[in-house]
Amino acid sequence: MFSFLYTPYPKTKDAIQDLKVKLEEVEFKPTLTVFFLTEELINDSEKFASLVDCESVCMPIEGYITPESIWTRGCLVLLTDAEYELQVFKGTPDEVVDKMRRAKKGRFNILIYPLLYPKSRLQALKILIRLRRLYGKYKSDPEYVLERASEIYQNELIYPINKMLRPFRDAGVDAVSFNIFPLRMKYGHPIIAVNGKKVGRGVVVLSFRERIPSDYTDTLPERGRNLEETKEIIKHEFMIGKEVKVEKKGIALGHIDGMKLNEFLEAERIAIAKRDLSNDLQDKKFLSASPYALYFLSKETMGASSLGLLGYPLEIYPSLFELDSFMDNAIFFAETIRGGLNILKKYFVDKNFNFYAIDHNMFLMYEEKIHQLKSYIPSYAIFTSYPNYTSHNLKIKLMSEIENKIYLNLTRTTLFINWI
Amino acid sequence: MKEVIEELLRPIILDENIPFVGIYRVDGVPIYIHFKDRQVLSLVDWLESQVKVLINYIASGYFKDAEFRMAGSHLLLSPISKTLVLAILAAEDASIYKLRIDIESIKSEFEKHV
Repeated sequence: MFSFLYTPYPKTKDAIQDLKVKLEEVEFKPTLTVFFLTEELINDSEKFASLVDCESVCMPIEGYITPESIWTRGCLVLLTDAEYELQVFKGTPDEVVDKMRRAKKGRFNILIYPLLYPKSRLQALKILIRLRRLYGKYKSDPEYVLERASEIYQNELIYPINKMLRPFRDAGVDAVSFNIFPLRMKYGHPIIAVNGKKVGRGVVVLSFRERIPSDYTDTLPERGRNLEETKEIIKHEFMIGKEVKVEKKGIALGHIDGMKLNEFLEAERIAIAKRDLSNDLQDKKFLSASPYALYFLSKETMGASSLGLLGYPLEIYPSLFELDSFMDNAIFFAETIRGGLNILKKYFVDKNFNFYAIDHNMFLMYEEKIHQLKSYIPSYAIFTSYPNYTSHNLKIKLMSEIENKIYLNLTRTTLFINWI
Repeated sequence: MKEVIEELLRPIILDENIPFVGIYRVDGVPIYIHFKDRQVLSLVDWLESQVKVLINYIASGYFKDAEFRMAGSHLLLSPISKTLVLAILAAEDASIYKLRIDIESIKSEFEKHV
């Protein structure tokens, strides 16, 4: 059995009071509670966890849909009595992947982890200095510099999404990746908590014994039969659509068309905010979304996945997924959805799922027009950072299948889950 | 009526980044005002002098809604029925695009009551 509850109150005290009353009406004994918390509520995860007599996970979201409304404040709560195992894996991406390969997996798995976790200002400044010094050697040995930069980014900050999904793909089970990257970031965030205790930088895995029906869409046309066809489809779908040469290794992105990212954006006449990254993270002014991005083309599947380009003065830019299986040519584009929100209808209607996880970039694209989505979604949904997926059950040639059975994009993705 | 309005507006009223919430009739008369800080009263005074004209534009469908960006705050005026307009003052730290989404939810809740 499962049940959803919600409260639109933005203050912990009022939200908890409201949830206490609603929890009394739940007619079964849950084994697991997932609190999807907006804004500052996530700081009080311990108080939310103490509301229930079972294990709990708290994760931040940007907003949620209920059958009645859409809210960006308060929280949505999922209660289930499913059989599951909860595991937390900590360490660098290589260490975590190794542990996950050896760990027991369910037929359906949910990964919840901070995609990027800047621990403190001191740590961020140290990383920036190390990268700047490393960049001094870029002209003489770009390959070495990119390899080292990729190691720094992975060991200190980023869990690459495709890397996290591979152990589950290789085990032949379904896995959903809630790779958390809030729209407004600051140091020590995103906060994910297990039984009220903050996890910090680590991966929470919920492994469900039974197969819980799930599905995924990238809300894009199917990929082409070859790279030329895929390129044409992407160029038709977005504005600009210019082909560029990229220098990359691991998750590090070096020069684009022979220029640093900022120089490249300036050459494209794109205004760049001259902001300081470490200050923005301190003041919670770091916006993790951008309308400009690169589409990388997969050598393995002919699929494609995008990486947003934020205009901070970084000589070596971090990718949120590993880039080694992609071509050295990428497509620079500006995000639009041709046909607006209406185009999403075909991907959403008749899905018959009771839970949706929708990319939060939709908020920025459509603001209050997002309410149109409600007519396609009769149940509950969360807005989170571009959920990704692995499954051996999808039959269509999705654009975002960038490695065999790994579906990944950093915009427009939606997951469907049918809780039972 | 006051209790119903208060309950519907509670998710917004509880937000510490929102110092003022009001509901005005189309003739500019306030029917509900909630403020957290006396400093906003001068703004409310100004709002009442301006609101009649603006609300007329909104009520006649000429304007869908109206927004003012001021130093350190943001004022949003949005119709919630044929005769009522919701006014919200948001502090600099409030997320305006999120607020716009929540206002739509409050409007649809209001529609069930008016």
